[in-house]
Amino acid sequence: MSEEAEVAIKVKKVLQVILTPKARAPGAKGWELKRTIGKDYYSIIQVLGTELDKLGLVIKVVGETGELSPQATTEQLDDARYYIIFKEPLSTREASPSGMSIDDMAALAIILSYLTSKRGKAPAKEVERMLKEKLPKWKVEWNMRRFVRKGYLMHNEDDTLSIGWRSIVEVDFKSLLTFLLATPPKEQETSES
Amino acid sequence: MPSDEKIEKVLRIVDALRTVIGSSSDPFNVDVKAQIEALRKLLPEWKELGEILMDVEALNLLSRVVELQEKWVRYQASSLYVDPLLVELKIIASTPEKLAGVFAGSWHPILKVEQVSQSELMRAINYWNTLLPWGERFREEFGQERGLATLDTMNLVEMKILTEEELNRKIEEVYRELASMFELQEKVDYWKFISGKNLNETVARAVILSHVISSGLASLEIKPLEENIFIVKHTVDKYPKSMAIAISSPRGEKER
Repeated sequence: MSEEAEVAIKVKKVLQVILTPKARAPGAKGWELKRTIGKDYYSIIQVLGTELDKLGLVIKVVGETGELSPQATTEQLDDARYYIIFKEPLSTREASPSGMSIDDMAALAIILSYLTSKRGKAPAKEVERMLKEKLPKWKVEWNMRRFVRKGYLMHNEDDTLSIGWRSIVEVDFKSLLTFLLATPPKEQETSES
Repeated sequence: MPSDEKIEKVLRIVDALRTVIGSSSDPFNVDVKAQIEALRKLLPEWKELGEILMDVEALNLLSRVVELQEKWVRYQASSLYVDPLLVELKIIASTPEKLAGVFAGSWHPILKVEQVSQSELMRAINYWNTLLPWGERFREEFGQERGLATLDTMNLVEMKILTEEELNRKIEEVYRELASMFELQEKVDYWKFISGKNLNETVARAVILSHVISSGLASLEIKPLEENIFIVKHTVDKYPKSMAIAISSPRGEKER
């Protein structure tokens, strides 16, 4: 078998392992990929990344401290989790069929931007107070529980909330804050229209 | 400075430091230099092991505050730093639609396949084929299911748990007790009357009383609004009627 054909098989295998549904979280761990296709798995990941780029997808490598840079050590890469995400963000209309309502997305924008401004962690009551500014009371508690379950948030033992693993993978925090700060206030919007 | 006051001073420092470490407040609110100076002045005074350990704890917390201060500086210098107050104001001033747009604009969902694989499907089929019908599944563990049955006094007598003489003696005892109370008052509180030392005794008295009432020696008066039940000498109702009163676990005076 030619080297090219071998690489093509490995690329398909890596894609399969990453996309296969898992009980706990999507994606795959570095050591899992290493066990499946061998030591050179990271170079195969890079080949797969090039192919996915053509389809508007990207591989995100997340370690314990957040997204890993390509300069990460072998140990860090083995311990990290590999996800395939959309390269470009969706519009509100495109995002709606995913099961996220306007209120859900607004709630996540509020929670995540607030937590980011508080260095990633804040008392749950403070976050609830912020959400109640925009959402009905019953929906606040319901949403918070749902976001924790889905991995967008983490409820800590000291009754604080911190940014969950899914938010770290799916959300571009720099864009989130930039868009929030660039949002015109309500009065300005109405006068413009 | 008295010893107690010195200890209290260190404890206050420890408490204040723990609060800063546990919250997301600005670690620069702690004047590290002044706290170290305070601890240094107190250090020669400590003699007991507990006091020295307290001083070590305070110093350890101070070092963690310094670590937090470093992280804080790094964070403020990063591109992600935004004043929390500004974020709060922006959130308040925006509509839910705009906020949803903010999230969607920075959201890159994870791609995953939600499909059952062939091996999973085979496992499911094998499991289904070996699964016993619902009716047979728990038979071994719980035995044959039986319907609810009633044990009346006659059954208890037949089973030799209760003798007829004993039952009659108990009915007489309860009736005498009730009759003596009727001499003093027109009606007797049902729950107070049946109340025994424990749940078994309460239930036993309630059963015996039901025999007294069934024999026409007394009657019940129920006040549904006040949730009261009284035992009275004579019934107001022309026709006898049956009623069920549930008694479960002791709850204060009323045992239901």
